Amino acid sequence: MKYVLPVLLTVMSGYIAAEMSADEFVKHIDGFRGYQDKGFSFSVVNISYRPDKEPRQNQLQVKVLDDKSLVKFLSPAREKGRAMLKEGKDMWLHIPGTRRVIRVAPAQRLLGETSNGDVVGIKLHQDYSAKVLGPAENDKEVELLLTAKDKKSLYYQVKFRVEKDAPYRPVKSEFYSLSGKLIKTAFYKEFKSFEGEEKLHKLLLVDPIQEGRYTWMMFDNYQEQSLNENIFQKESLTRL
Amino acid sequence: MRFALCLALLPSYLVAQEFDDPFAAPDFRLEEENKAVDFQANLFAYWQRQEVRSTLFNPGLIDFSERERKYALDVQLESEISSRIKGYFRAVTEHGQFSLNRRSESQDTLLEGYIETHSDDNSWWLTVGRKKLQWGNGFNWSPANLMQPYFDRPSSDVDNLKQLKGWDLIEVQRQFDGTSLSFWVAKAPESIEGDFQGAVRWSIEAPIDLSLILHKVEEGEINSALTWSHLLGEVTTLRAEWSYQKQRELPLSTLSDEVQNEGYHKAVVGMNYSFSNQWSFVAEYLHNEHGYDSQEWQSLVNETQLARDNYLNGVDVPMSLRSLFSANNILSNGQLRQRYAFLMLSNTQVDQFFQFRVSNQFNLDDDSYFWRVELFQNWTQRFSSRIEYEAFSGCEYCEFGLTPYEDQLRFAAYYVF
Repeated sequence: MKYVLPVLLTVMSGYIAAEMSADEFVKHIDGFRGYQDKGFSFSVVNISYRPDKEPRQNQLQVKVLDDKSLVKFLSPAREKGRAMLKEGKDMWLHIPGTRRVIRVAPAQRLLGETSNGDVVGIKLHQDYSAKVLGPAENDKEVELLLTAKDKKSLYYQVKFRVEKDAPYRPVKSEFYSLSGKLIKTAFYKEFKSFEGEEKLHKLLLVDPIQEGRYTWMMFDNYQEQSLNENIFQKESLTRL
Repeated sequence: MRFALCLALLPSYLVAQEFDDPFAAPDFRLEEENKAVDFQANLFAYWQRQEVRSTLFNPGLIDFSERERKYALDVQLESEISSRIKGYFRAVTEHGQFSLNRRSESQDTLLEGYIETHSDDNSWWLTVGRKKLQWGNGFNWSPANLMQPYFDRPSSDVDNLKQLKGWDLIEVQRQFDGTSLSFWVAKAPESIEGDFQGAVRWSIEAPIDLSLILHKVEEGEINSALTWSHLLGEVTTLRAEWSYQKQRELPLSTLSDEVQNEGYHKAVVGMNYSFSNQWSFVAEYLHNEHGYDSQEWQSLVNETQLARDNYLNGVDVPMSLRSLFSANNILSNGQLRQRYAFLMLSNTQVDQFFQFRVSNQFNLDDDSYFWRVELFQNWTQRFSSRIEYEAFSGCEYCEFGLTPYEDQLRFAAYYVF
């Protein structure tokens, strides 16, 4: 009996903590990529690998305010000056050479192996419903299942492994289509402190369908900023 | 227990082994964004070979060369003069030997050069100088671009930077929450009566992407245009544009510059479908009332045929020459008829070693067409090349059967500093 009570309490506390904090876990995941409702900026470097090919690299500067993101291409040199605006699902691309601003679809990839959604600001807690699946085998992590509120989302379900204890860093996530096909696996490799807040620093994306294709992403220079809403307009894309 | 631990650690061990962190390499460094002065230069050259043919419009009158080459330097400079004032400059210097006259030519062109300032909250903008305006949202045809310094066919020749030459203008823009209102006053083109032209554009953004444009040349009537785009699911975008101009773009006869003034509609509808493998497919349909209907086209062809016969027989040569030159000018405008389709398959949106684009433009009125294949090779971050093959096909009285070239092959190389 003297062993039963502590065991029961441990199991129950773990269960209650896990079940009650599903949304909290997701907000913590979002917190590693931004500053909730405040404006902020960061830079991203993507290096994509394919079998028997030279790696491709690009660098972007991103500004985020609410559900709006503004992405400016800094490299490669031939794509410098391109800019992309994302407002919810609506996205526009500005190609400076022609001064054209064209609407692009969320599924339209502009960044090699990384999707547009990987580089912009994300708010999983707004777009997905979360539930705790239970503890992972190693007992240090929790498994979460996120299901998109919109069935048309590119990633209908995301399975996350998150640290069970604070600061609740994400460890790994798997992205599934509506048909249940695994599209992408992400490994959250490194975190870094910016102005006292810990943010995702290095992310590894692996393509489970095409063997040997993967992308390293490095997020850096996170800064909370007072950003004017007027710069997140399609008309402003030509003026970046 | 040890065995179980080893198994649990195995996946992370494999990940660490297979995917070495490239950012940890000692030579890795981030690009710095220089806001004070941002300089970019693009040095490029192309060499082209084409199959010249004799046509109804050109019975050996214009001596087209089978070879063409161009070397050019495109320079862009952007400077943030203060937190609210920015300057932009773009010029191109070109040297080449072109097919039309076989002579070597050099030319320097200021494409854009303007100063731009804005209010503290970015809601008011003022631009003064030369600037390229782009109101259309289509890929191949943009009827909404009512103010055009040059004929606007960006996909026709990406190496012709003069298509990007702007207007000398003053622009005022007011941005509201999700909408904007813009005004322009610009110099009128020399080919049109009047010194100035003006335009106003009102646009609404997401989720409805709609804009209304009104445009007027000093001595002319008001022209109008409408653009619209829409997202359909995660993979498809739709777009449409419409314009109405009082004055027709093309003359009815090769012997007169007079154009009709009865009001003409031009509309394009199109879609872009994105495949999961980075390829996308574009389809567009153009309805163009500025183009000739069957009767008008037949009349133009008969007129040109008579001019050709007269020229070859030495009858009324000055008049015949005028008619033939005029016919060739009309031909260079493109979209001479009323119904067209455009199809394109490409993977050019994503930077990768090989990029490929194939496009077709069909004249649905006379069944002539041209198609183009392009292969891009991005050798390094700065050096790239492009191979392009174009072929024009159609009957001897059809639009794309009348082009002076049957086909052309171009090799272009680009280096970005």
